Amino acid sequence: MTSDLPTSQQSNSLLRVRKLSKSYVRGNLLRGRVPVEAAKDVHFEVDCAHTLAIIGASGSGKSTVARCIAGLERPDVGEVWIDGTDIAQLSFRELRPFRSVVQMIFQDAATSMNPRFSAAEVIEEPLLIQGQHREERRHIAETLMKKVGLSADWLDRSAAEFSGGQRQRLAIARALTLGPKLLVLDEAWCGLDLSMQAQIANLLLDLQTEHSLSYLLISHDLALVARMADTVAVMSHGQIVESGSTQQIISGPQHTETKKLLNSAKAAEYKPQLSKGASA
Amino acid sequence: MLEEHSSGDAGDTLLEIRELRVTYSPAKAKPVRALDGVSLEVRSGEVIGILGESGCGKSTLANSALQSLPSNAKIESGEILFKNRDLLYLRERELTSMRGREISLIPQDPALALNPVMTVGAQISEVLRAHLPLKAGQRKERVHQLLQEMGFERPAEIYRAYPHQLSGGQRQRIVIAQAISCGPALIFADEPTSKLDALLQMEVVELLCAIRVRHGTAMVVISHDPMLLAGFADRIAVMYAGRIVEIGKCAEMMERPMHPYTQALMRIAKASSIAEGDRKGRFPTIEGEVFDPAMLRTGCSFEPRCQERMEACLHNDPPKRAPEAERLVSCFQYDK
Repeated sequence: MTSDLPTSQQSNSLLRVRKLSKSYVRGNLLRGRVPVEAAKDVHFEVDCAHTLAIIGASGSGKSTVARCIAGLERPDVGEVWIDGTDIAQLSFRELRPFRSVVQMIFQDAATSMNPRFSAAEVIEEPLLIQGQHREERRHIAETLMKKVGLSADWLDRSAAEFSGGQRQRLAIARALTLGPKLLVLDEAWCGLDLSMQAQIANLLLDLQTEHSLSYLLISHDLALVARMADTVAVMSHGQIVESGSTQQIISGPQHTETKKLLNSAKAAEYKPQLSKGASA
Repeated sequence: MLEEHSSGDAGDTLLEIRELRVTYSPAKAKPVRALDGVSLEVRSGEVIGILGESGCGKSTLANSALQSLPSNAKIESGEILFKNRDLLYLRERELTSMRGREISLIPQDPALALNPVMTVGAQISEVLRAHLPLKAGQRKERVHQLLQEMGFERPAEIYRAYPHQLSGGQRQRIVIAQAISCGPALIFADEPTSKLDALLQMEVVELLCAIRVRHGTAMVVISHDPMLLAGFADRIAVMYAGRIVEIGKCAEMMERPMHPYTQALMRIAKASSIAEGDRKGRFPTIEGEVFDPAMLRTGCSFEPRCQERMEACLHNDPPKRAPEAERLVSCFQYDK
């Protein structure tokens, strides 16, 4: 099934993905080495200043798609158009200018930064690579720290001293240094507790309005998606099985996989009847 | 309601923690008080949910009861009575024979808890060998039974598998099998679903429900998500900055939270659950940073973030009050 995400204007889309496929060879307990089609014929678009959420169960291929778009994996076939250029088959060197356009924020902020770096080094590293001067770097780092709700006085603390939520803010600050247009958020909330998740979500929503950022949100958390995304694509076994506006997907899911995800999200909510059943 | 779980002794006190104070002394930093006068009673066959943000002392509470605190932690005062024996006065040998057999733990991250170079079958079998006088064949039989109970369709294949060959959800079921293998009276589950997606979370909660119904095991389930505990726990205790600020029956805590912190948590949980007509927009939050236990302060530790702070909150510890049956709240609002 192909996706037909509602797009107001064709020219307005920042990211266009066409026929993207990627497979891995993987050891399997029962059958030895088998190829796994992690992504199969995936189509979608993300508009400027909009959020597309890709949802799906573990192993449905959402992270593979995210990594192909961030330029961390090369798709086997397909096109990834970012800002008018197809980056899918670019060489490592040719990809470099696009790294500043697309930034990725990973599941676990703790393992995505060098714990021996200070906060300043974490944020300034991309600027250093781009050859910015020391005063300029420090100035940008200070501005960004404030922007993500951290004190600029903490720039000299080591990254390991920050709490989980603070480290996720630091990761967001680092991602913003080069003025990206698209942030790929791969389960960026995993491992944070609810009030921290809410704070990070609010921060991202505010940044989106302020900087017209686009987000590609990878998540299994439908409730979060409902408040963050404009459009949703549902993945199952490497394919997009349903897509549409967030409202459509949540109020009128069509595909069984979408219904399953929605039901499990709803089942995880207050359910007094189960309590009675359990204690009977 | 509690009396229905199992026969005879249900509803008796199984574990009683009294005024427990635990302090960590990190090598290069100031000592941190992780638990500050925590009292909690767990009755036989009961499921208690412990709710709180990271750093509030939830895991320290579980590790204290299992006497498996890291070496830089010190229990300063308090009692931990399990079946009327104070665990703080047991010898290491006695503790070893009790851990895993009478009280067990479902760890937060099964990937870290399992030995990567041992088959999972052998790892479950190891727990049995440590505690029960079974022959090798009987042990293997019992492990197969346990794997079946955990919902594995082909237990023989899983028995021979190494942890890396299993998925996150499967590994979680292996550590649950380990935890229940010797039929403990009490299980501590430390964020048992935090590494899993929504579908698998439900499977694990259903599995724990089933274990509780079948074996009448009491459980202390630690989580930051009220919705996970809803409908599963009998009672919920909310922790903030090393103290239990509110405790009560699950449904009542969900519907009528009394402490301002519990109220804020429930607001966020409602916004984080899916509803018809949800629109893109900001979440409600609890403003301010999580309490830093290294900082000593007088008064209520939630005061800086509290919407309903009063003059009294600045100077004194809030008293424990019981505005209704089976409910305790530490807040000046109920101080009448």
